[in-house]
Amino acid sequence: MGHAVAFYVFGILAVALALATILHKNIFKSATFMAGMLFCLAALFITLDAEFLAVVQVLVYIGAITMLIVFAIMLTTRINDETRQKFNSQLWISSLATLGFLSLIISVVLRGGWGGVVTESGSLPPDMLGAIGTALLSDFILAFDVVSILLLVALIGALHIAKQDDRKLYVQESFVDDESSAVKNHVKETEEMHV
Amino acid sequence: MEIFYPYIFMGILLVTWLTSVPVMVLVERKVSGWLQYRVGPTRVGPWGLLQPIADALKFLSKEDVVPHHVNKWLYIFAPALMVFPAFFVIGVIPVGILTLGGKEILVQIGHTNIGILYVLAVSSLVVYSITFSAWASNNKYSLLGGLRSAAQMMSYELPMGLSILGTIMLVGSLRLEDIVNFQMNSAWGIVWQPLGALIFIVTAFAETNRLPFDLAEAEAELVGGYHTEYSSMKFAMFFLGEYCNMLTASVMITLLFLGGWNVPFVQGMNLEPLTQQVIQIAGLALKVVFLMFFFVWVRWTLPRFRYDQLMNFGWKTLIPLALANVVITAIVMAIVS
Amino acid sequence: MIENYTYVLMFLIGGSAMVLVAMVISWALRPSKPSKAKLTPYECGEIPAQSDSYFQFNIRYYLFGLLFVIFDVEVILFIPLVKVFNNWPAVAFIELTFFTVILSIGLYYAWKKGALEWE
Repeated sequence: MGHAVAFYVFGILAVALALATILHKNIFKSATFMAGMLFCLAALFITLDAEFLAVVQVLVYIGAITMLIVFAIMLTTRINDETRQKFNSQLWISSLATLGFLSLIISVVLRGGWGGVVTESGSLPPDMLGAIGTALLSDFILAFDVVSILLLVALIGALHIAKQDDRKLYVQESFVDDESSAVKNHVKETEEMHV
Repeated sequence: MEIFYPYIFMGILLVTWLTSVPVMVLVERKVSGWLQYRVGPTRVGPWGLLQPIADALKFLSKEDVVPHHVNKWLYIFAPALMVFPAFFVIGVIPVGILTLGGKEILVQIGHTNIGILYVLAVSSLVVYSITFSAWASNNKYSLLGGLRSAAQMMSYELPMGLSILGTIMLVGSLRLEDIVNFQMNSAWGIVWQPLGALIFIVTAFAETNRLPFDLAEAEAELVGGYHTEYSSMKFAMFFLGEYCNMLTASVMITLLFLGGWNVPFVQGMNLEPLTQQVIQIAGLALKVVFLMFFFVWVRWTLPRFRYDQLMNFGWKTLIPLALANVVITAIVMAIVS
Repeated sequence: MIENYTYVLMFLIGGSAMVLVAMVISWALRPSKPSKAKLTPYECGEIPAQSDSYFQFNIRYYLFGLLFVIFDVEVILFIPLVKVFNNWPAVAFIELTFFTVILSIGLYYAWKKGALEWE
């Protein structure tokens, strides 16, 4: 009973906030709605007794990734520009694709047979986090190592791109003699960055 | 009767946390006075003891200015967002064990298996309150303060998360009550994890935006930081949230590294269980009071960091140290076992 | 399990209700006399130069955000590992050291690249 109520409350809230995220005109507020939506998802994980997953959701998605998006939004110059177009010409194609994917998911869910998927023994292990840790150290030990390399690659790649951009802008600003053309270049480049 | 315990604990903890805030404000003003060779507040009541009531009345009766240029919904929502995480965290913090009706009951509102991680995750949400208030205020000082603070809190969350790994490794559990039990049966966490404790305490200062890490509201350069445009009760909300978080941080330091409700020698005194447990809870309270005093003491002793020093200290000193702490603990534990 | 979080939620609602009561009392008591000067942005008495104070932020904040995401994931991956450390000390130790070394290389790279520099 409690599970069902919590599921419907947070589920409906999550969908509403997700819609608000894509439909709101102000991108900063879109990010706010997204944080709320992710929080609702964390609450849904709690109703499934997946505490660790819920906490990871809060720590990584809300605490880190959405904050990163907020920083990215702060980099733009047109945060409050609510007149800009919200959708481009691909609106119809993408909504068709989304609807197709949605119907696929619904058909899979309706086919049922989820009872056996959750656990083989029919009940959750009492120590879920310990089970995750044991799995990481036995069956998924290679995956765990690969993840560490992947994180390193992501770090190096991200830094390479971000720092390179920084330098290019700096060079352009300082070595172009004609001041007005430098300013024009700078404006043009920042505009290109935000398109 | 047992079903009512969570509700009783809710009441007790709420009253404790909410009354500690005005008391703390008075203590902060008095102690800062003494540290600077002044007397502090003296006018309201004997030795200024009624000052918190005067402060509360002032907050209640001041005009609430909502400037034209703010983003109204976020502006109103941001102070609430400061208070929510503060209350959310208190919900999983154990403060002791009581034997009631022949059963040992943990004084905690909601039991969870991931206590310490939950506290870490929820307290990281405070950064949203600061970012929202900064952005919604549409004021240069607020924006600067808010962004600074967001980057600072993110940077110091990492060493904080890394510093507790050693403790988890020793105890083999994330439950705060298990961590306290472990310390009861052996030695306090600060003996096991001196480096971890040091890093945790330093990052706790940074996460609660206390001096020397209060770059968010560096009043000399940023007026008031992210709450420049706030007045009346909305400003009081920020205050309330900050002091609640400070108390929570003190309780967390005590639970993780100072033995929690463990009072030395009291277990060998053959007291009645309930008496012993009440003494233990009082012991926890005493440790927390000392830590709160420590927070104030540090505030009036150390000067503020410069922002680049702050970020360098976080990334180039604390994170490598915390990583080293994890590896050293792992080496020692692998050898011992 | 879920009852425990229900208690936490109830505590949150109860606490917020008390705060809300304080807000309502304040709303009933306080005066409201807005004037033009009160409603301008607070800039120590100066009249603000622009109506909007949003400006483009330093890309450095974004860089630190990126670093934070990666290291945060690392901390999270460590947690299940250190929890079962006592059951598998040898394997866990090797994994932990390997992971730490790999990420220390990342930190070192960021350091040398100057990404940790706040100018």
